[in-house]
Amino acid sequence: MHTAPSLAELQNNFMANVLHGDSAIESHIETNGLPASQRMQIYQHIVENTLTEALQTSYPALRLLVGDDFFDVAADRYMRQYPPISGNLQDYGVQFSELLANMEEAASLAYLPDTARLEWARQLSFLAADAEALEASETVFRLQYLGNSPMQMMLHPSVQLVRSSHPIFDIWHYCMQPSEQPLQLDAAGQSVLLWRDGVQIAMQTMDAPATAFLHAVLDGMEMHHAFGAVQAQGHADFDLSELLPFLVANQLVIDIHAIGAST
Amino acid sequence: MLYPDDTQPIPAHAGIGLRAPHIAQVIEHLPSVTWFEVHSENYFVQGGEMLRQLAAVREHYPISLHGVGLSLGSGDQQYRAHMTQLKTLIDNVQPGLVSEHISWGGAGQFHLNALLPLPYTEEALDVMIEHVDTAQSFLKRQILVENASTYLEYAHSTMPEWEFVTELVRRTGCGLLLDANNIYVNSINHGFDPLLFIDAVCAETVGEMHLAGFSRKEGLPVPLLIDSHDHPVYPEVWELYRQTVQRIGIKPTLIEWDTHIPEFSVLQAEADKAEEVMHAHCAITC
Repeated sequence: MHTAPSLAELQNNFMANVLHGDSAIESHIETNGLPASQRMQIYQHIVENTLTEALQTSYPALRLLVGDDFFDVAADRYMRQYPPISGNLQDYGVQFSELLANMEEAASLAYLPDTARLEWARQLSFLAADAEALEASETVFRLQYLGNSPMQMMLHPSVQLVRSSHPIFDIWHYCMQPSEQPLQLDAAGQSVLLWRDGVQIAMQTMDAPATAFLHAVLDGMEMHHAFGAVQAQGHADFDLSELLPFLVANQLVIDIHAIGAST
Repeated sequence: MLYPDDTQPIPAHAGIGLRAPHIAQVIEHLPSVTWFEVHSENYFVQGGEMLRQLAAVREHYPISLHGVGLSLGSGDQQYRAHMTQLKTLIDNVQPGLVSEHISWGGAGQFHLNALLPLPYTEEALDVMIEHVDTAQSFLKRQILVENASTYLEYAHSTMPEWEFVTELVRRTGCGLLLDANNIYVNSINHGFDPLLFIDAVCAETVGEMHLAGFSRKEGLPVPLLIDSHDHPVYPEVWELYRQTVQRIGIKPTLIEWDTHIPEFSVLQAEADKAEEVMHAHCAITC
């Protein structure tokens, strides 16, 4: 005869069973012709399937890259090491790159974590808020008007920047849109700018100076300080007039304002 | 303003659970469907195309929001951030109905994102009552709660499922989302007469019904059905639905299909069957 557990105790035991195989819950389950362990297996499979499918949705390129067997092993390990913390599956998977970085089986596949970071950035871009872009003429006007005053450039909420020492843009495209061109996994690293473009997530590689500038801007840095940060990284010839038309054409600049006076 | 600013009630007709593969088709062709239901959490986004698509559907159809992640039965906490996201969505969509489940998914710091079984005890009932009260107060509206499919029973339960469910509804003033498939699945899994459940229900409290297909777990020493939402509604469940309509009258009834989702026309044919049952009842009693 077992003492009835409190609801919280019962639920903690249930969770410990699903995540780690702990058997404490089983003494509280009526068998009715089927062992409690087999009844719990049904719930284990439901949770495993739900969470694996969530990762498959968020990481389609990674899944193609490593194959279903490896992906499922990683998904299973992720579920147990990083269980979801919210009831919204769209939040699940944020630390998948961490798991991959620490997987012994993936030690020789150094590009996997950054490929995962790229796919999670796509997820964040997809879920981000809407915002109106500044008109091109207004963008130019504000830059000229503010001149040497301290100012801040705000980019669209869906903009993400992923920097990598691996060719993550090429890897992603090779997985999702295979071509006859062989993939050079040891090619130079790529930085990728992502943003939402209608129903798609657009991606564009960025050179080192543009990457340094965009990183500083996304970090909230004042624009002149952002220029300074670019130059400090050895890119003395960075010219915003080359990057700005690209940002404006893709409606990625949503505000430019003097520091302390949001417009 | 993305959405119409008036709430359209959900009519007592057959609706369809709207899932991603069919949304563009629905927006383009505006099929003859009386209402749609979507999963609330799929629209917990801050912007983008998904919200615009939902607004386009809402422009032409009443919408019901059906949640799966609020974990109303958690013994140690309430999910306030989740409720806040749901409130934002409700304010934007102005749905005819909002529903959740009589189940739990989270405990401690984690959330398994599944509809897990509760013990039918006074303590669990008190927890559900407190959390439904909180949800209705925070959301400033009545919610419906759905009876869940379960694959186990706890040894320390002190009342049958239908007593737990009806008492929860009575003491909170929430509505009941009566899932006929779940009642049938539980009746097989746990061995009871499904009409005992139906007869315990107060007809006026039922705000919606659900119909879906189950699958059979093979190779076990006892029959076990899984609420898989991957088949047409089974004849046994159609019969239980017909008997339920006879007892409680016609209610908004949803066709759910979440795995191996078929062509939209298949869902429409299932909705037509539900309409036939409702129409037959009405022809006799209305």
